[in-house]
Amino acid sequence: MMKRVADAPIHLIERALRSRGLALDFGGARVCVRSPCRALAAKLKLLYAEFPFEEEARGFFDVTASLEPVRHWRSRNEEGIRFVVDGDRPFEDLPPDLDLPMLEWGLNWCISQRCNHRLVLHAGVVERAGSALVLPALPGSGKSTLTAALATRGWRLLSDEFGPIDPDDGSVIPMLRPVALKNESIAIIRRFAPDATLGPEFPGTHKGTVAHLAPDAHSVAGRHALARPAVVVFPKFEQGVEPRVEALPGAFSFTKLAGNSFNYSLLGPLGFASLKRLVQNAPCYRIAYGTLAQAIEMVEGLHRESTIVPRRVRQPFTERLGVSPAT
Amino acid sequence: MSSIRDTARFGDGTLVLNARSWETHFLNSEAARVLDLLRAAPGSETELLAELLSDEEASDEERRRYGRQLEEALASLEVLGLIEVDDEARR
Repeated sequence: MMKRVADAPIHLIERALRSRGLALDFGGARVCVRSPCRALAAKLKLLYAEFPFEEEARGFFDVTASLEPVRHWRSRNEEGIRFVVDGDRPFEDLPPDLDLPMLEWGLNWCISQRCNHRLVLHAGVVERAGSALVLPALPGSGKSTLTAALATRGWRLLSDEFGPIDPDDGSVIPMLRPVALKNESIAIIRRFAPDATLGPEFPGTHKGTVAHLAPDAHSVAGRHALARPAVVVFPKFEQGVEPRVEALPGAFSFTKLAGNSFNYSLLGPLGFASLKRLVQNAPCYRIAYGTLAQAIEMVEGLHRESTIVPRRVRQPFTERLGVSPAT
Repeated sequence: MSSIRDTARFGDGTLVLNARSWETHFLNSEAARVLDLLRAAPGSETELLAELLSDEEASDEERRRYGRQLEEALASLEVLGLIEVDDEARR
């Protein structure tokens, strides 16, 4: 049986980080992380607990990146950390205590830059019974909070950030990582799922306070299982709003998803064909909600409606909410 | 019409991928119909207008107005590179 990161002694994780690197398999990509920063090992052990642990990183990696301490030339005191990939430093240095957020942001950036052999949506993705619920959204819409909440309610987490679409059959490919939560969302998820594993809080980042939800064993075990997109829902959190759901017509959905994608404009025919198939096969909705409970009820209803053929006639979920059909 | 690589039709409009620019264009139902007619067989403005109004009982004024709209639509499609004017046929 393969050892999990959670089962690996901390000194072995530190050694892997210092030597050949710590291999992490997200499903849709494999990355190798190196770092002499000792504090990083414990954080990775917590957030990647259910991922397999390889004592020696071997094989092909989509990304090989390192997190390096930055020292002033006249002092040996560590002054910051730096994300380095292929010898390049794409970001400003950050204080050492922001090691994990910097690594996660850096890996996000690498994936968004390199995964150009398939259309990649900026979306949270969860799955039940082989059918994916795709949640594309702009930052601040509540996408990650909703994705995290669903992941703690038995849904398999595929990603909270990336929805890569397989060009061959239109399935969503997992890009399984810890879910990045910001500010109020951290307390909301702690209350909503007290048993879920959340990492340390990092205050003072350019996004405010961030913390990460660790993927559960079920999601990690299924990280190579693709899922058919059953329904696309654009979520929007609005304080105090009455919940509403709106079916979106196809061409409008297509253009909205194209704008949401990381790389639609780069891919030409491949991107067009991928989106065409997605919109033709998965109904698209827009929801507005004021509480997490409302959002969960709406997306679970929409997903259920799109995946289950009822044995008896019942009033459709969208009809109960007064949604007019897509034109 | 070789500049059209792919199309996606939906109830609220048609999306067209331009093979040369890799840009995606949104067409309403009228513009999409014009493009369909030209893809089926190249034709003049007069022929197109006759085809588009074949099921309508349009007055002369309506025909003139529709003709102006068609002219604008064709100019837009040409600017987008989705159609080409055959100068030889025009002469």
